[in-house]
Amino acid sequence: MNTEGPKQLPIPPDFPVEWGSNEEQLFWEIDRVHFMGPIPLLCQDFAVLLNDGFAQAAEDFAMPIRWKKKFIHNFDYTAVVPAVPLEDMEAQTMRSMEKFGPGMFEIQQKWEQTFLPEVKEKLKFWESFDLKAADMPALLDHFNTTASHYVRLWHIHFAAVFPLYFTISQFDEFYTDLFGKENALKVYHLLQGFDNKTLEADRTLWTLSQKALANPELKNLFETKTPSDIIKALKNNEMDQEFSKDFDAFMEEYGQRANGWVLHEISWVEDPTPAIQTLKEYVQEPPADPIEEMKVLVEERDKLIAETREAIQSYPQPVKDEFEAMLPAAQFATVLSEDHGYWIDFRSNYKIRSVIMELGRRFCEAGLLDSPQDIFHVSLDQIKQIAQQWPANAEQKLGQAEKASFEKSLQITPPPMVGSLPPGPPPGDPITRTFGKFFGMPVSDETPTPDTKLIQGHPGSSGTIRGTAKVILSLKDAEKLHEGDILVTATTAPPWTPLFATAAAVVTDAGGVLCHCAVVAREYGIPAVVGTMFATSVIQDGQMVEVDGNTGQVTIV
Amino acid sequence: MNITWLGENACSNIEISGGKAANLSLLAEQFPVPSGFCVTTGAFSEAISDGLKFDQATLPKQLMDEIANAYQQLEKQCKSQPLRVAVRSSAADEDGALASFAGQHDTFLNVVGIDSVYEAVVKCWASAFTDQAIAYRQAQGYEVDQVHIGVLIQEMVPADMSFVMFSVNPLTQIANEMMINVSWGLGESVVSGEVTPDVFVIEKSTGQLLNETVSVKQQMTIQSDDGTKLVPVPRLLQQRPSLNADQIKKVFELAKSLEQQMGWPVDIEGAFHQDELYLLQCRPITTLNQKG
Repeated sequence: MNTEGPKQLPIPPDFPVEWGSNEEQLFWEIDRVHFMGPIPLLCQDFAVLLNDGFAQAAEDFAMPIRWKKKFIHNFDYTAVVPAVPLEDMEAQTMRSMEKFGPGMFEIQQKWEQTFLPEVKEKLKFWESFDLKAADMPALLDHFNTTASHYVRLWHIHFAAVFPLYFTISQFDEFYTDLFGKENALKVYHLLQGFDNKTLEADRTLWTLSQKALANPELKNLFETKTPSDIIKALKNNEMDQEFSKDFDAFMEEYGQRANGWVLHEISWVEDPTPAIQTLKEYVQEPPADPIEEMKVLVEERDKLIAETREAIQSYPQPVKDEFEAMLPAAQFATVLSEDHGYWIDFRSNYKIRSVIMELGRRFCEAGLLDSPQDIFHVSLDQIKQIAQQWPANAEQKLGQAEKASFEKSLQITPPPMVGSLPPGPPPGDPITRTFGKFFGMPVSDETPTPDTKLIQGHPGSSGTIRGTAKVILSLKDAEKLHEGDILVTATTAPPWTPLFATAAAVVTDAGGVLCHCAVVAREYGIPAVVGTMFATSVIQDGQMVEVDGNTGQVTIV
Repeated sequence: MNITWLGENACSNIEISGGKAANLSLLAEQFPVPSGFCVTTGAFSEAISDGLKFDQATLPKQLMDEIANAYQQLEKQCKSQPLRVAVRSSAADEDGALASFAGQHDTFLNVVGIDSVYEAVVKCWASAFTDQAIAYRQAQGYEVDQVHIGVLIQEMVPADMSFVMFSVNPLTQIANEMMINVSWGLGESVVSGEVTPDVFVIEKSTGQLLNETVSVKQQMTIQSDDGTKLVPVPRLLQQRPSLNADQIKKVFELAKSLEQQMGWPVDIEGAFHQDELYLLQCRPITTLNQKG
């Protein structure tokens, strides 16, 4: 029996925490796969709505856990809390497994016939609403519906991602149970080479860059002008008509996304710099033809599948049946692990952001804000309240203190975990293992020293390569990445992946073998080490590093 | 006569083919017994008197040709070449109602090619002369120098699941209960106790499932290139019941009709391959009524 209480984690002096009742006993972590920095007040309110969606999906799957949110100095901390009394946890996990088991084979049909049509219907709801023309009562009504749609979309999101990641995780374990753990990433080669929305977007950019290369005037423009000059040329209709049209079509289809997952982040439609920056990069150092690259992946995949079938030839039929059933399910799940993000995390978020920004513009015009973007420092309730009593009295600017607090937080490095260490290791059930593979279990308890030369992370994508490290924490700094460099970053959202065509390898602080970064690195066939926790703080810009995607090690050489 | 086929009268004679082969031969027509032939007890005695040294080199030439012919014929019958076969010893005093001799004589699974068949036949013969086998015979009161041993060669069933079924519960001795022990893969790991099998108890009079114990089946025996190997069971299948309701019913019905046919409680070994049921062995339960 452990007579000591739970072990309290140290709290930095510049990071005081006010605990609610029992909160201090919980283990709080920042989700570093998705949230790199602090998030403003309105996004915190939306994060609570997102968490409602999580709870509803968790209910669907009879999950034994829920998420609890706490915002400390504007950082989003999550604690995993039991959904049932502790003594029922094991039985609840069994009940949940009964949902997850069939869920593996139902997800494709569910996504294609139920979830995606509903997402598209919601997108239509936003597209068919004239934001500019609506009067305030109509806009408020639209905003209220938007908030409830947000909950439903994240319900769908988690109802899709729970089984999809579970499927890949189960397939991974099935394969390694059969063939051993020596090459932990081999199984993922059976899932590679299928197109998804992320690759589609990146390939469309590449095609645009090829068109620019074929036109001397455009080539010169992309080689010599700054992104902002190029954007100006596009806006002023000074560019090749056909290219402009193609670029607009690209933005319409793929530009409805921000560089991260939080609603206050500006989308590519609003500021196309990341797309233009990538085009510049692609024109200056043209990457390999992605269509040809994919053919290689497909060939490798088909060969490996044939070898696997041969290897299990003499296994009992149930093993072969399970392999044949799980393979297409895991392949579909791999595609959906990117595509759900296109539809929900980015496209839907963009529409929601547009509604918020329209309110921001009106609040700004009414003198309530300094800029429309400042609406993100006003709470959901306050926005509703003011819109309700429109026209508003502009005596005092809104969200001033909240904005100051947010900006102060931008200067803070938050502790990745606060509260109390969990009493024991995480449960070993397949559902918990799936979460671990997505978020990345901590690789070590040691904090790095200035002499640290070897950084251990999780294997993300196979291969070993040396290159110059470029530590890039924001897509704004992407221009320093050149062909053959190693991209070192906190985490990567899909809008970052065009950089994978240029980078020789990628190293992240956050994530596990199933995180977006690892999934897409495998599709680019570049080595990846994920979930190092400290890479961005240990590795200096310009250092020569060796990345071993198979062992998950990064060495400063 | 050196060779006799399952289903033939001679093969059903325990003196000619040994207990295991004779029992199966009797059942071959009515029940799903994999095709095969038997190298007779007579062939063994003759080889011994011809100076057999328990190696392939001293196998009589005539016998080798006959085994090769029969193997070829079996290949044709099973439409498979080279045919994978199971080679089992079948002693005349084995599989009797008094002592089962279970595990005393060797079984060689997944034997491929005629040279391997010769080797397996010789090893089956030799197995009757291990110290252990002799001691067992003595303890059971059999004549040591009067060993009659046949060798049964059958098409290999690449089992998906293998089971042992007792038509009377051997643990409780309750006559109205049948018990199935079953696990993934070939039967070796079930028979040898290397895995803890799933256990199903069925009421004989109604066919109703009385009890189901699904075990964590961590290992299974599968065919290797030239024999068998023990491999881990993927976690996904470890706790899945290795028989479904339909399959349990099929095994139950098989055991019930075998018991009726034989007139005594049966201890059977069987397997499923691609949902087809195969009967691999049938003998009396030898441990009953010992409580007096």
